[in-house]
Amino acid sequence: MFNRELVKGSTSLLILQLLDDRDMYGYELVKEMDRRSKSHFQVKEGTLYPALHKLEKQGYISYYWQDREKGPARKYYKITVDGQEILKERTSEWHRYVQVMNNLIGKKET
Amino acid sequence: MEMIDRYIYAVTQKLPHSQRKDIAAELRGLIEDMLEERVQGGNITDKEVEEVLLELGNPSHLAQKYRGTKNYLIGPEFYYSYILVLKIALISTASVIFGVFIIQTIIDPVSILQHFIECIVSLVTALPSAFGWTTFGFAIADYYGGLNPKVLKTGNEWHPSKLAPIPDKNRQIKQYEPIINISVYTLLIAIFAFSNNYFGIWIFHEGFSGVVPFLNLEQYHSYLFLILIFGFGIIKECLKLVYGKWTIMLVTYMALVNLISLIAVLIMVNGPAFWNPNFMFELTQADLLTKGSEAYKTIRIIWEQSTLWILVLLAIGLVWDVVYGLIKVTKK
Repeated sequence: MFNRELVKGSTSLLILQLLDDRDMYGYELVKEMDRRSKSHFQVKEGTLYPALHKLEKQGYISYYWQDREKGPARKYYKITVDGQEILKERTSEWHRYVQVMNNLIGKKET
Repeated sequence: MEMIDRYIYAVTQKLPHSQRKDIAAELRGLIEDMLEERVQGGNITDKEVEEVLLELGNPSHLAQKYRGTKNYLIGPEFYYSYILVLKIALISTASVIFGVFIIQTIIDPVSILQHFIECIVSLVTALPSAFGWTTFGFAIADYYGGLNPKVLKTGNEWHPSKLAPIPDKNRQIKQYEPIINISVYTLLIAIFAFSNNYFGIWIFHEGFSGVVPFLNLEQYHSYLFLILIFGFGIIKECLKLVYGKWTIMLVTYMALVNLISLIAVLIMVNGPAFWNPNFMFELTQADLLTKGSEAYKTIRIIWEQSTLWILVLLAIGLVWDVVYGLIKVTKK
């Protein structure tokens, strides 16, 4: 597990990245993050859902409801065109950030 | 499963109306997914529900996350109480000012323009200050309340079993009812406190020429009693606001307040010289009645029995108040 503040800043980048691959519902995102990071990166549901809402308000993701045979309908999230743009920007920003951080703490990015 | 409903209610209650439905539906889906993962097709017990809700955390905190970070003067914890008090303050202030304007115009219709200007000036000065002071008070409360370690501590001790039940729709008290009532009571208090000498029979001889008051104006407690009645009314309305729904406790408190106010009224009305002792004499002086006439006798009887009837009516009103509450409580 990583420092909470560190995780918080990168949550929206990760959400956008995951949604860029395919549409997902909230809990699926939680599980997918857990799987891809091999449990090193666990985003709490209490953090993820408000983050999704914020992204939705900003217009970077949209959603639709999908009925299920059993249980209540699921809210699927989908990345928007704006979202894809901001994802590109954020990703390159992230790379620059890692580079600068590595320089500052004396390591080279691998 | 009721605990899940309570949890969702606790979260969404602190969110703007427009978002409530969506967030509630999504939250329910999430909780069910989390439960499903835990039991893997087995039976869901209260224990699992508690674990899941504890993982999601304090509903106030979750609601706060949905609402965003603290870039506000008055936070979500205080916001609804703030709006409520603000409404009461503004509506009460405005109704007092309008009430005074109407009374002044009735008494002295010639100067209506002047009264109107005074009314506007009062509105322009009083409403912003009511708004300002309310906001200021809540901003201070939010600032210090937010830093209060005790508040933070109780926030951490949250547990699903502490969730309050969802109030039954039939028993809910609509917020605007007490607000309107408080404003009306405030207006009545203002009117009686400042113009109780107009509370009586109005005499018109080519225009308004005077009043034969009902109350003994030399005795200051005669209008204190009126203020007392409405003051108790305000206390009851505040109780309704605090409870927000009809419960046995609320009705018990209201019955208690009614009993105390009835006793206070009884003591006052039976005290010395509560009513205007020269009422009948003043009526004849004003040429409204001639002593010894039929009308004089009738009015005299009405006047002498008025105390009794007012008390009877008041008692009926107060009893009905409690009965009404009980009906609301027992209604399914």
